[in-house]
Amino acid sequence: MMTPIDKDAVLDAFAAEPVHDRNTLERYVSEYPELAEELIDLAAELRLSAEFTGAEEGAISDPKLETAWENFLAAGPKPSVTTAAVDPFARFKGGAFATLAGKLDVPRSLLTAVRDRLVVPSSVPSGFVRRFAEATGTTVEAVRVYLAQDSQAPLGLAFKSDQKPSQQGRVTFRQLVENTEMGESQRLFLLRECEEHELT
Amino acid sequence: MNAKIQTRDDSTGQVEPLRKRQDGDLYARPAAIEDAIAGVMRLTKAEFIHLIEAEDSADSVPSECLLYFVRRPPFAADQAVLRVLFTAIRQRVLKAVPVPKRHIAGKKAENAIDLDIRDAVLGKFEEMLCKDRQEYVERLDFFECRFNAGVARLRSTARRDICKDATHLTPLVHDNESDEPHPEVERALSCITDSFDGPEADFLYRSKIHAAISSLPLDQRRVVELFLKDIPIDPQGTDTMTMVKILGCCEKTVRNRLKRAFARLAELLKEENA
Repeated sequence: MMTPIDKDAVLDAFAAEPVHDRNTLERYVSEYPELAEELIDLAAELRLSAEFTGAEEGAISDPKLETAWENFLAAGPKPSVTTAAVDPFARFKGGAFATLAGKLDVPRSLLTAVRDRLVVPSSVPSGFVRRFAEATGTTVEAVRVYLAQDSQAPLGLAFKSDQKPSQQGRVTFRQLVENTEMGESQRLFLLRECEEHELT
Repeated sequence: MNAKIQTRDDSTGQVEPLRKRQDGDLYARPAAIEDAIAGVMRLTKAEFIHLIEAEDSADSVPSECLLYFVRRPPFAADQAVLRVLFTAIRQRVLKAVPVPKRHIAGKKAENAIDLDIRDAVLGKFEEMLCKDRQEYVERLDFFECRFNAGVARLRSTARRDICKDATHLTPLVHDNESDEPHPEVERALSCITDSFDGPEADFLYRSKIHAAISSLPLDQRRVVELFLKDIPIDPQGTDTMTMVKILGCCEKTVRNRLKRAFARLAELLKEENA
């Protein structure tokens, strides 16, 4: 007996045929006589598709759109409760931080700026975020959430300054790359990522 | 195709392959669809939204390509972009479930069936999209290759389900009323076959014929479909495929169904043309 999966495969294959003329229908009905009625019904629908699809001009009324949209959103990935609390740098202090910078092939000073959220979050290229998430064992989403939080430059570092400590404005990732000392090939690679990111 | 859509050769984006398999091989999108996806990947967010929302987006963004992005939301799953995509893909489904315009007074029940079918198809598609957000729905891979054929499959299932429940709405035709031949029906049917290219084959006229056939009960619709495919009623040779062989019923039953179908079509076309 034919399994439901086989049946679907046969009907899909029939639907995918370039033409649905007598020869095609005969071929399928001969091979799968138990599906004859369904093949004929499908042939009729495909005839209608060929004639009518796209024939209606303008938008078609979709009264259930809002409910459907809510269902669609509800079915999607939800930010986990712990996402906001995830600090991707938590496990990377001291030597581990240097190793992480090496793994990502970026200078430690650049990674420090990222850690301290001194970079405009939207300017960080997706490629860098993805590599960073992989290297730190977190997710792209968690990294984006981390970057979007208020910058937390450790004020203690500026405590001995002559001026009152204050948070500096954020710089773009491109500015950071351009103004950080690093190898030329590293810089070119990161700038290319910036360029691709800015195009999107 | 819209000028903004560039070819895959120019793209730096990677088009994600499908996962469904057929005979051991992965499903593959047609090259034109892959190219369209790769091209759209290169657009900025503003360009992307503009393209999808354009009135003629169906010409530049195939439904298969649109579905790709609904399943793999671009721009870090920006909700505004996702909403545009979601609205657009529903419109594509609606447009792929034709509700032929009919102008027959007092036959609202049959129009309701067409609308019910559209509703059922949209509901099923929505169900698949929601499920796909939680676990990959391989069934949707077919839609990414042949969107309209996929919708036709859903339509076929919906019609079978709905028409089973609506048989009581089918007007009765008595055999003794339909014995006369219906050359006008045969003529009308010939207008919607692939080979016909006569002057009567304008869209409005063909629409009426398709609509009339769609309103037939399923068993009559099947014999008409076979008639349209030029498949003979009776056995004319051992190798010839006939309606009798395909439907697995006796010749008299097939003839009666065809006779009833033609009588009903004659009636419907008369009302349409009145």
